[in-house]
Amino acid sequence: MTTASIHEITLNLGPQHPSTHGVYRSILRLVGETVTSAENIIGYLHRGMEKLAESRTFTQFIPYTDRIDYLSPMICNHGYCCAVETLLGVEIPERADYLRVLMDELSRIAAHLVFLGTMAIDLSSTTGWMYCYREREKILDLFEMVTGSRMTVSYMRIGGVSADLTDEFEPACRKFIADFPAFIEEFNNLLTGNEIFLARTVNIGALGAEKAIAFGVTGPNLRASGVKFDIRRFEPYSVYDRFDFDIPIRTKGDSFDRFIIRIDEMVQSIRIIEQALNGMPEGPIMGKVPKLLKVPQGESYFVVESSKGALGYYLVSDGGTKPYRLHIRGPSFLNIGVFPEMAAGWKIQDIIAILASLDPVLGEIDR
Amino acid sequence: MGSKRLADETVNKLLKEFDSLRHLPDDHITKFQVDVGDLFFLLESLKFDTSCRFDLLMDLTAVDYTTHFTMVYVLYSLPLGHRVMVKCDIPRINANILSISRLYAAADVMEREAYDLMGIDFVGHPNLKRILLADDFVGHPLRKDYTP
Amino acid sequence: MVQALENIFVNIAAWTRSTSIDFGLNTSIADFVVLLLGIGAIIGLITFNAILLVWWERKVAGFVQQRPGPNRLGPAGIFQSVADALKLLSKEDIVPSQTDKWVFRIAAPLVFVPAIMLYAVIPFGQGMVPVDLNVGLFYCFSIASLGTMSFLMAGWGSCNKYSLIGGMRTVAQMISYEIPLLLSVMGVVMISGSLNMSAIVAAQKSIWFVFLQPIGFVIFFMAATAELNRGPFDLPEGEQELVAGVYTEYSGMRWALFFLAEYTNLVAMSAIAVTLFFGGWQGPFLPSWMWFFIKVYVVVFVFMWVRWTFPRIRIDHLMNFSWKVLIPVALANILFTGIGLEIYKLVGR
Repeated sequence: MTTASIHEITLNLGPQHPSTHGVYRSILRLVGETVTSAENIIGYLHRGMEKLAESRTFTQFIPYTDRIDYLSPMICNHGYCCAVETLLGVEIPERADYLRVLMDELSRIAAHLVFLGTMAIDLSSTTGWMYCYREREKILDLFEMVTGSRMTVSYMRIGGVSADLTDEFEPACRKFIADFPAFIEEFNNLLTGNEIFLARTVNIGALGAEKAIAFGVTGPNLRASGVKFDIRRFEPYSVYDRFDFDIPIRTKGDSFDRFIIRIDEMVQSIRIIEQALNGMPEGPIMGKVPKLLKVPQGESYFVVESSKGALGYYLVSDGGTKPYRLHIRGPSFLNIGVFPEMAAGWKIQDIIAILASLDPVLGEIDR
Repeated sequence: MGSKRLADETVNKLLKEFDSLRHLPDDHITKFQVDVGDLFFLLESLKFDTSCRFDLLMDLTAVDYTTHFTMVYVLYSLPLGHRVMVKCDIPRINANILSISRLYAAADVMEREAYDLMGIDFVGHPNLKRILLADDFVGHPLRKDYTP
Repeated sequence: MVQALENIFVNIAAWTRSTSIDFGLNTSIADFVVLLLGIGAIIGLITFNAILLVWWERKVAGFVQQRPGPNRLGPAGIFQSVADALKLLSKEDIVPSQTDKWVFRIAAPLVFVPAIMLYAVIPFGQGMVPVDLNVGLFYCFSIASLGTMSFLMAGWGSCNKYSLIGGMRTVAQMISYEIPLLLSVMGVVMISGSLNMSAIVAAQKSIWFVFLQPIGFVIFFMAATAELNRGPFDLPEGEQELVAGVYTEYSGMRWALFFLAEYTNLVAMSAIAVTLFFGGWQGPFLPSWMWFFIKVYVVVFVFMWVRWTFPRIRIDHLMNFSWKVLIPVALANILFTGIGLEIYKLVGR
């Protein structure tokens, strides 16, 4: 009589896969449906941005920053411009700062909507995905009004922003923030309270606070594990210290917490947008910056709170027109570093939920 | 930007503790320069010392200054609310440095990236292989003397 | 007028029979000719149905998701199915080299066979049952369970780990849910006292069984969704986890056959649901077969509505749900139905 034995099989997830959020690849070892180990393989979207930065002028590099986190491009623009401005020592006009914050928060909402939509569709709720993208269309329309572009906006410049708000922007934006609570309610009715959704996400993939910090996880993933760390509060940049908003925290750190916290963050972003619109000062949108930009010798490390976590720019200048070295700290690069540890022991369907809840963006991971 | 600087007493304490440690002037961030020999012990102190408590490794990267490489470590302290940058020069030929992946798990992927793009060998790293470029890629592109 | 419309199919069948006998064929061959006509009609129905449902599913999805759905080809996009069919027919038939050739190739058409066989015992209208088996209901469920085999063939024959996992899931799922499916209709059988589909329809003259057996219907609906591999129980396909699960290596028309079979099964299951719970073809004013199709398409709409609303359930929750929830509830349903029947008999005396 032959004895049956259970073999471990190796399954390749991606880079072409409906649920890997881009060209992410993982090699899973499975026993039945349970994952025993997962290995990250990245680099499929590596475009050599850091090397390219060394042969582009400071202003020429701004469109490249859009492609770092292409879902919230404004924030990436912002971080880079601030890193250069720190070395330049230029004063940013107040109106430009307000515009930057306004656009950052719209961008954050847009990115979180993609997160909610992709998390919904990864759990096979196509309808949830459609509803999120319907709302995102409104934000992309707002971006198009001001910058002419929907996704890769290249809106900010060294010293300010490139364009002022048009007349149609403010009423459209106010309408968007007025309609948003109704969307949140509709979405919660569809998905957040759904038994099947809860069974797929509650207590799945819990990440402890200490492990998260050790792995360099930042952003909503860290805050869902109970650590109150937000760059906008830790070291406020731009005019964030003038706005009144809360930092949502969840305690369990499971996939459901990571899901809910981003809904809460969107609500807070709406508050900031409203305050920015109300308090927007008049004035120029661009500071005094020479046409041929030569940044004095030195180095700066500037961190902004992107929708995925702490986005850091390390800029070294040798006094010329091009960066000597630019290093980009992509939050998702560290966030998925903890994924192999989180994935072990769960079923295939669970790791899809876990990966979705970490909200990785390949542009940041690979640069 | 509200940069949280390390308290002066702590800076002085560290300067006394490590011979090769130098405090570099900077308007935006507390910056230290240290030699390779003291680096690991300095980072350990920064992590575990009660007045430092730098629990988050924000960034780990390297810069090619043609005559030497400079390792850059950026640390944040979540409980105490300050941040610091530590720089360390290493020679370009056979560039190597002790891995800090035992100290900070985040260093695992960041050191692999520095190895991949700069060619720095991190001694003691559990899995030092290329991360962004293809496994059979030849060369280290971020070096200033790299030719494709 | 209504009467003429009502009997149109019966009359066509009778006319064919008499004409064949007039042409000199003996009676059994004439019956055979009528039978062939019936088979042709069912195949025509299935084809029409598949074309209709491909379009309708996308329209319903669009409706749930607040978008128009197909609206380019023809008024309200009704020629979308034609375009899809033409596209699929013109695709290259890719059979990967490592597959188990015959298993892989046969799986796709094979999945159609049980689906079509189900139509044999469904009463489409008054006097319009193709084959009036005394054990019609029993026949339905035995044939339906044969569908599992073709999915396992597709999963194994593809020589692809994703397909294999999908195939394993399918077998587990379909076998687990056959039991609640059967148990849920036991109440109906007990009340009507027969396994004959026409008799079950006749027993619903005064009241539809959905009112007498609401729990039975709910369990039947859930188990049928699982048997049909439709969301939220569409794990075998599992697009977000297993790329396309069982269907990963299939392309072009072969792939389309799986989905056409799924729609065929969908209508067959809906037809069974209508027969067992919604009074079959009975209804005032309109011809019986018209009522039947209206009811079937309402049930199909509910299946689609459920699919586009809910996320997918996890495999172990799926199994738990079947074995630990549906089966006990179905058994309890049978118990209470039995008690209810006894009380009814006592009171009725």
